[in-house]
Amino acid sequence: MTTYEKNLKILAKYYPGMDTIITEAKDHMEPDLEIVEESAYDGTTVLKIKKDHKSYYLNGKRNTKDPAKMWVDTLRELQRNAPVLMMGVGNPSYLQELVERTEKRITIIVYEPSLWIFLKFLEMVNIERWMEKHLIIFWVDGLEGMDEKQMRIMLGRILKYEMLNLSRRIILPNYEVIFAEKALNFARICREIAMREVVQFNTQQVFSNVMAKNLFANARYLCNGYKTTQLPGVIPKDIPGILVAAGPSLNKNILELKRAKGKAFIVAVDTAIKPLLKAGIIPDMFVIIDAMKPLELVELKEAKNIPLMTTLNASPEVLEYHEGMKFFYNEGYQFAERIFLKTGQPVQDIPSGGSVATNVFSLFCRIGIKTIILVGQDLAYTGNKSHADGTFQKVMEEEDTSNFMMVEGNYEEKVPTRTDFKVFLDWYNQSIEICQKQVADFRVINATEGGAKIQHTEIMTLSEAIDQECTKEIDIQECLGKLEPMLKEEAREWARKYLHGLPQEFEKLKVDSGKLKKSYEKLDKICNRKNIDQKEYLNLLKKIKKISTAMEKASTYQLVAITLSNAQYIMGNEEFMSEDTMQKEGKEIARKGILYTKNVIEMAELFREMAEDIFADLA
Amino acid sequence: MMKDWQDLYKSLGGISIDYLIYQKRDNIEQSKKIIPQIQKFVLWFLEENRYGIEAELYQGLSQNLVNILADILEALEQEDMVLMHDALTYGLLEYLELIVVNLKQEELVDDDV
Repeated sequence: MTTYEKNLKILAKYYPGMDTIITEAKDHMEPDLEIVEESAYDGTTVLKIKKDHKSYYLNGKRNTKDPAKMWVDTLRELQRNAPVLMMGVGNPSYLQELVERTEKRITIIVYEPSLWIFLKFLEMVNIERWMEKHLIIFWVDGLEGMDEKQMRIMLGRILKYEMLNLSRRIILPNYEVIFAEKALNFARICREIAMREVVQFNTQQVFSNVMAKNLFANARYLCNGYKTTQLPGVIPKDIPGILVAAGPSLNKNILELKRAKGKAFIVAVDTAIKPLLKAGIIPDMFVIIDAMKPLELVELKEAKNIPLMTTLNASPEVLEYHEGMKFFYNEGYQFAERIFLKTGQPVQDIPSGGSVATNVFSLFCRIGIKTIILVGQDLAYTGNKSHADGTFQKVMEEEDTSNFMMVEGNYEEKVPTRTDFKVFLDWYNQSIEICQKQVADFRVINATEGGAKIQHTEIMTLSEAIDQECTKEIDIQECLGKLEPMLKEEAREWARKYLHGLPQEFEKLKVDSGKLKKSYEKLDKICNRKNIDQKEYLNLLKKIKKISTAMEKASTYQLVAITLSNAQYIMGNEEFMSEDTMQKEGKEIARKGILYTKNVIEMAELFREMAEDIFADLA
Repeated sequence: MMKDWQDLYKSLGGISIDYLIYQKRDNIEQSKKIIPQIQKFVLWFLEENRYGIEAELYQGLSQNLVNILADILEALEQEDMVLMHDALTYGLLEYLELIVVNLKQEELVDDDV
């Protein structure tokens, strides 16, 4: 059996069917480059790629090992499960050095943009022992199922925030020249995923402190509130959904929206409410999700009764001020899910995308609306302004955008944008493409009249979009008036009792955490002994695992865990670092465990008091 | 002359470290700046057997140096960073090391004088 055949067998062992996929691709694909095999001075086969009248070696002739050795030297000691992203296997010495010299099991993602180089690689080295030692994922362009979308999903699962500072990346020399576009794209995908993780983590950090307070304060509204899953039953799908965001271009066409009223489902983001109402336009619904949104942004008498889509995490001041219908969607808070389940309908979430506007977009998709018109969705500093006039200030100040990143514009060649806007832009690009593949005739019209270009959208003025799409009369308030609150009387009573009982649940969590803390203290004691009783040590670890698993199931634990996200990050990050001896490892587990359970106990007590205060007067 | 080779040795060392340690991929651009010095060194080495190296060995070294120069020129033409690194670090740099570090002591007469 040849090395190539052996490798196919090994790949099939770890990834069933991969051998067939490779063979089929080999039989059906045409080579897009010429590969020349040469012998190095030490007899090793080195590859030379001929492309576009140029030739490039993938490995040196005089020394085939040193560059790879030096690279692995610079990585220092890699932690367990650390992800290493490698583009290219045409010089197998990089992968070989990494695999052979890294003792802890790591995750290696090898992206090879050429099937033909990958096939040569399979002829050149035996990967059996490498696959045993580490988790190696070979991602090869041209193989079935290995497209960009799937790559994003795969990388998204591996590049978690806590893994980012443990990860390493290399594009093998000459790959960025031979496969310039693919190398850039690969780097871009990795950067976007990492950026998304960082933004998500930072947002969670900022909001975690106020989150619990907001959740408790807003939970009362669930008893008489509505669910977004009720909307598809009453909102017609054959009218356009108009998403009104608060980008600077909103000022250009806000008055046009008057013509769309009664002919579309107009949903505004919270920041757009003031300029809309001042222009005499009452949207059919507005949305707030921000935990720290100042009330002043929506504090207008006319806003009080406009139906609101919101979250439990949103600013309680706004929810208290607002008196109309409140629509909630599931955000995954376990304690709220228990109430949602009492509605007897499936629990459904809204893919967030990270901004209030992307939530509105997702809401339209969930309802089944096929034509979405975007207004004021600049995602850029059109005219060097972040938002429309009349939002945060009467006239927004122009900012210095000379150092901002530039993206393609709808009307201008390039427009300045910032990191979070870029994340939302990428989200739209992907989401619209997915929707268009899944839903026949799904269209997005970008009537922003400025700002960043969103892929897969039709660009037109709002006036043209209204003339073309808003052709059917509809009374949205009449539609919404048909709805009953999501909980029937009996379920409402149950929810009230459940919320009243939350302080006791936090008390139980506190007691369980105390037990867990004691187990960690015992572990620390055991590890102080000269000779550790291995059986006792392992049994105690089992017990710790059992208590923590039970504790994590409590709906109240999740709230504590989110609030302690920073501590969790440290724990998560250190989880991947291992010590040399059982004693050292045990002591480290105990140290972190005691620290964490101490925080959980304090937090559970704080939440118990908070819940008692808030739910005491729940009617 | 020795000063020139010391400078060249330092420049090549820097390019090599940038590539190996910092994964910099601009060795073609960096090399372009020192091509005249490289050619000067090769000519100087081939001009005569200055260190009294055994004739057959000197001939072999000279032939190898010509091959290295050919690879450097090919790397420049093709913009091939791998070939350039290979020829500079595991080829030319070894000659310079031999002259600047090992043979310096034996160089009793500076040929510049």
